Amino acid sequence: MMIAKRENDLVLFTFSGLERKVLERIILSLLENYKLSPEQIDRQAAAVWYSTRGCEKARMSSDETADWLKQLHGVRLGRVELLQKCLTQLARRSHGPFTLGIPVQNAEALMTALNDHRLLLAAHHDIGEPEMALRSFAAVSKLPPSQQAALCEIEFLAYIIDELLQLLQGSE
Amino acid sequence: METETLPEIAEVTKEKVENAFEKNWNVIVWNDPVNLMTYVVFVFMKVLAFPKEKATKHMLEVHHQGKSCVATETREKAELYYQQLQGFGLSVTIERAE
Repeated sequence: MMIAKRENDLVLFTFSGLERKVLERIILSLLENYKLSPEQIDRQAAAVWYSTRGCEKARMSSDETADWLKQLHGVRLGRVELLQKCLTQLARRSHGPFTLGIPVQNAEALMTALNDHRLLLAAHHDIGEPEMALRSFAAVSKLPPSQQAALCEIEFLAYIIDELLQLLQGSE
Repeated sequence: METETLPEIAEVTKEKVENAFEKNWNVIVWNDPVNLMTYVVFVFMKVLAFPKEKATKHMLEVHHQGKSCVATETREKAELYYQQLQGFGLSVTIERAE
C-alpha cells in the first residue's frame, strides 16, 4: 500500500508494483489530455476541465471566452514538465516497492493534476453522487466493470491527495 | 458641424470606469460529487487566502446547499478567481450581484 512521507525538501512516495503501473497509466493519460487544446479534447473532459458556464453567465464575448480558455489551458500545460519528470521516474522498472520523489514545491501541482484525473474518470464513466456515495464492496460490485475500475482509481487518487494535503499542511 | 459625440463618449467612459471599480460580481462555487472536502478547503485557503475556519464554512455551504458565494469583487478580480478556482478543478461561475 502506498506510503507518503516528507524528507527535507522532497515528498517521497513508496508504491507497490501494481500501484506504480496504475500511476504510470494515469500520468500518461493526463499528459495526453493536457496537451490537447480545449477545442480538441473530448466533450466530457471539456465539460469538467474547460466548462464555460461561468463565461456565459458573465456574458463574456466569444473573443473573451476564447482568451479565457487559452489561459486556463496554459495553467494545465504548466504541469506538463512535472508530469514528464514523474513519468521518467515511474518508467524505471524495479523489483519490489518503488519510490517516487518530487520537490515539495511541486506537490501542489501534482495533487491538482491527480485531482483533474479523478474529474476526468468520473466524467468518462458517468460517475456521479450515487456511485461516489457507495461504501460497501457488495454495492460497488453491482456496477458495470468499467465503473468499478474507475471508482477504484478515483479512490486510489483520493488517498494520494489526502496524504499530500496532510504533508503540505504539516509543512506550513 | 456635428459636435455632440464627445460628451457621449465621455459619459460612457465614466460609466465603464465606475463599473470596473465596483465590487458587484459574485464568485459562486458549485457542489460536485468528486472533489474531496479536504481538497476544496485547501483550494479556498490557497486561492482566496481564507483562514481554515472560513474555508471550511464555505466548503460545508457548497456541500449542503449546493453552492456558496465565496467572494464579491470587481469584474476583473472575479474573473481571476473564477479562472484560478476552475484551474484547481472546482465548478465555478461569476454573476453580477443583485
